[in-house]
Amino acid sequence: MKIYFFLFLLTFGFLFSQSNNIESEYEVIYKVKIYSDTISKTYANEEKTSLLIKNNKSIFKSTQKAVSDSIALAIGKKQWNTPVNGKIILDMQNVPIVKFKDEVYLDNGKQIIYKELLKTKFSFPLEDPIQWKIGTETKMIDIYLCKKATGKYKKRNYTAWFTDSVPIPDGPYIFKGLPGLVLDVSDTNNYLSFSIISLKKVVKPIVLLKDVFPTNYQNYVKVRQNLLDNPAGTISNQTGIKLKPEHITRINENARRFNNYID
Amino acid sequence: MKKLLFVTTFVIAGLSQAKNVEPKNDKEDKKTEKKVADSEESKSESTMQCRQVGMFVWCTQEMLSDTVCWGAGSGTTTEEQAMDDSLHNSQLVTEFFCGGQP
Repeated sequence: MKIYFFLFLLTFGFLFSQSNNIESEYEVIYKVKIYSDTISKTYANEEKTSLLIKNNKSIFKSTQKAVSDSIALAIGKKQWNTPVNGKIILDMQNVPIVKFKDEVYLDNGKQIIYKELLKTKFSFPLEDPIQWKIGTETKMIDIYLCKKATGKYKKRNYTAWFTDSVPIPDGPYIFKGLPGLVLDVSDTNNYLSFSIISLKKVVKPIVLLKDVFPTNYQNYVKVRQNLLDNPAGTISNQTGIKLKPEHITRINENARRFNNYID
Repeated sequence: MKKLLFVTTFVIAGLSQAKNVEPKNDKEDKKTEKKVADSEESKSESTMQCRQVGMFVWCTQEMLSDTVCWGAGSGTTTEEQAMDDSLHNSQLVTEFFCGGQP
C-alpha cells in the first residue's frame, strides 16, 4: 500500500516540477540614478527599474530593456527590408539606450548577477552578499516608516532604508536580505542610488536572461578590464567593423568618461 | 484501494504526457509544412549570401560600412540571425561613438 501511495506522490511531484513558469505577485518600481562619470559628476542618468517578486524568488531589471529591444527590432526590420541603392542603412539614433543593463535573480536567498559586456552576457553568483548593520535611525518614505541599515559591497559603502511594514527581504539590484523591503539605497558618494516609485500587486512573468555565459565575478572583472584597456579594439574585434584612427580616439575617450563601474 | 491509486497514478501520468506531447506534435506538423513551403528559402540559405550594410552614426554624421553574410560557410545560419547581429552592432557603434555605458 505504502509503495502505491509513494508512487502516487512521486507522480504529482514530477508533474508540478515540470511547470516552471513563474509569475510575479508584486512589482516594485525603483528609479535608478547613476553618474556615468564619477570624476566630473556632471550628468546623472535616470531610468525606471522593476523588481518582480513571487514568494522567495525575484527578478530585478531595467524596464527600458524590453522597450529598447522592441523599438530596435521594429526600426531595424523596416530598414533591413528597404535597402537604399542595394545597401541596407541602419540608423539606431531613435532607439533608447539602456542605462542600467544589469539584472539580478534571487532564488531562496541566493543571488545570480547578470551583466552585459558588448555582445556577451555573463552570469555569476553573488559570493559575498552584503552583511547589513541595522541602526536605530528612522525616517518616513511615502507612507512607510523606514529603518536605516548600512553595509559594504566590494569597495563601496551603502546606506539602505527598509520597512518592516512590507516583510519581504528583497530590494533593488543586490540590496537584499534585510527584514523588510528596501525602499531607498545609495552609496556614500551618491554615484548610484535607487528610490522607490511604486509597489503594486502585479502578475507578470519572471523571465531570466537567455544565452548567458556562466562564470564567476573574478573572470567577469578580467573581461571588463580587457574592454576598458582597449575599448575601440574590443569593439572592432567583436563587430568586425574596421575603425579609422579618429574613430579609435573618439571611442576610447568616450569610454573613459563612463567610469562608474557597478560591481 | 491499491488498484485505485495505481490506476489513478497512471491515468494522470498518461494524461499529462498526452498534454505535453500534443503541442510538440503540432509543432512538428507545422515544421513539416513549413519545411515544404520554405524549401526554396532553405535552399537559398544553404548557399552563402551577403549584403552591404551601412551603419549611420548620427553624432558624427558618418556611415560605417560592413558586409554581412549568412548561409553555408559564413558562420551565420539565417538571414534573421544576420539581421539581429547587424542591429546589435549598429546599436553598439551608436553607443560607443555617441555616448553610452561600456
